[in-house]
Amino acid sequence: MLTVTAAAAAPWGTTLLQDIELELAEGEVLAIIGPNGAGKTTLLHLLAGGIALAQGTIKLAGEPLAQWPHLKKARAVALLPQNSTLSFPFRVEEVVALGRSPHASGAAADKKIVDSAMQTTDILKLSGRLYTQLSGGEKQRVQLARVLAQIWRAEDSDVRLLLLDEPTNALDLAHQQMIVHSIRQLAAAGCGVVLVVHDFNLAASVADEIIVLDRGQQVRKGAPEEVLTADTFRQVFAVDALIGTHPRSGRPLVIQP
Amino acid sequence: MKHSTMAPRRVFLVLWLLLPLALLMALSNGAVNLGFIDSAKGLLATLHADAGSQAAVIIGQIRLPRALLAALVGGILAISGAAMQGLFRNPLADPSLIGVTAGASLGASFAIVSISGPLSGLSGITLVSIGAFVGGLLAVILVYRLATSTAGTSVATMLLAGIAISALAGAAGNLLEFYTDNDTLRRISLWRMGGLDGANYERLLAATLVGLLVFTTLPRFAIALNALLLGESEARYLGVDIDKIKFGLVVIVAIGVGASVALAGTIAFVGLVIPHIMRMLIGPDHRRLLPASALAGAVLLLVADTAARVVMAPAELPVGIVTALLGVPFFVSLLRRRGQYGI
Repeated sequence: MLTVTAAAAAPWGTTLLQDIELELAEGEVLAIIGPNGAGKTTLLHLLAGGIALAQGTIKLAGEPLAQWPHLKKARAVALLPQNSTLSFPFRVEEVVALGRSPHASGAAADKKIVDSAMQTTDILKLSGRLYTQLSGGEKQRVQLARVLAQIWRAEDSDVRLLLLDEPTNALDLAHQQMIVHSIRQLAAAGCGVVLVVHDFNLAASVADEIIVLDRGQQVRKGAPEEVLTADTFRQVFAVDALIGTHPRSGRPLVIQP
Repeated sequence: MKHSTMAPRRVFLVLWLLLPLALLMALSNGAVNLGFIDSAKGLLATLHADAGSQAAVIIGQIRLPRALLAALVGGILAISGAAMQGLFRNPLADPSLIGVTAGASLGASFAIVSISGPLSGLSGITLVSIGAFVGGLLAVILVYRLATSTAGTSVATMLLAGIAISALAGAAGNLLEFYTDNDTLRRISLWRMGGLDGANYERLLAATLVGLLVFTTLPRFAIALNALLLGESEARYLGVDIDKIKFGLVVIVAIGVGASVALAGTIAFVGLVIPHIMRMLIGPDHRRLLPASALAGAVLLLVADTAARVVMAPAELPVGIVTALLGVPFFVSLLRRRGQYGI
């Protein structure tokens, strides 16, 4: 569904990303990890079409991303930014409803979708509150509900791609688990998901494939157990880490000594 | 705690009731007090093209074009202010930020200086008005080009370029004033204070055309403006063609405000504070904010102009002073309760 070949990006002149190669099938979850400044967020915005390609190609559903019309792309691709700067006093449900603005699905259908998205991120009881008066974690859940609402229905677009930049950053444990659950659900419904995370165990538990970025280069790529090795941590993150196995899922478990 | 914005429907109802009331008040009050009934009669006579009575003459020839011009200009300024605050994602933005007001002032000063002597009318719209309109548009074009590069149009650069170009136009204007005689200087400063006393049907026609353009096109940007409040890249990911939206908004606001300044001088405050007040009352959703601002701006300028004519009759106060005197207390009272509005 999403194919990236030899992609490079240089949004402000200096090259921030180079030789990115990746492929994402429908229903697949891809995690991007890497140290600060490695280019993770840049890659996410590149995949969303917000940054122009300097080299290479990005194809979504076989068609170059840059050639997708604005609205059609907005119906297929949603991006949750790392932080949001909304400083106008919208009510929570109004913010979530903004996710439906690229669609023409009608007020009644939109209302249902907005309610479901709010239920998914546990903000139904905040729906009448003003966004500007929420806590950081609550704001994050509202923004997440907004991007979920944007790509909620399979019938709105032939392909669906959800891009999440540190979605669990400000969230407590219960809500982190809720996010993981909804990512799995979306993937099961055929939506491709790419997420940038700093929590390796979260990446290991939810991702089918992990990409490691370091200084703009893609240095590792593969299944969690192939990528999350002591060697990766020493070379890329300059830390020693113990790699165990999750007692239930059998996936890698990263322990900091 | 629930949000405390009022039901938007009630606010609209009140505004739609206030507008004709303010209009009737503007028609009946002035140097000659006509009373509501005579005003209504005069208005009917005017509508039937029957200019017999004194009331009909006062209303038809003087007050009706002036009142309608005030309503149109107030509405244009306020809706333009709401759109600019959305575009800049800054509640402190006002329509003059993109350089249009300063450019228009300079254009008008140029015209006033170069045609010393009686200001000859060009079918009712003076050369000063034309100078102001052209000056305003030129300033905006300059600001927009400064802010646009191959990477698109930067709103932050546009803000700074607007400040720079406004300062430049202001300096050039001051230089002009420095070298003119006292009489011209007074004419320039009177023009600056704003006033609707030059109202006539030609000006009203120009304002109506511009008003039609502004009131029918700006509301089409409402959904894009809502998305823009989230941030520029967020709006892009919601399918908004950012550069097209920026260009469209700047062009419409430049025409609207440029024409307002040309027809009625610089009227401060309406474009800045009316959208603010409306946002506090009905929330930031531009689908409601834009029309509500237009209505409230029309009401405020109608009331302010009536007051400007009545307070020191037969002399007139500059209307800009009255808009501030009327609007600021209301605005301050809202600011004192700002916690409820989430800002």
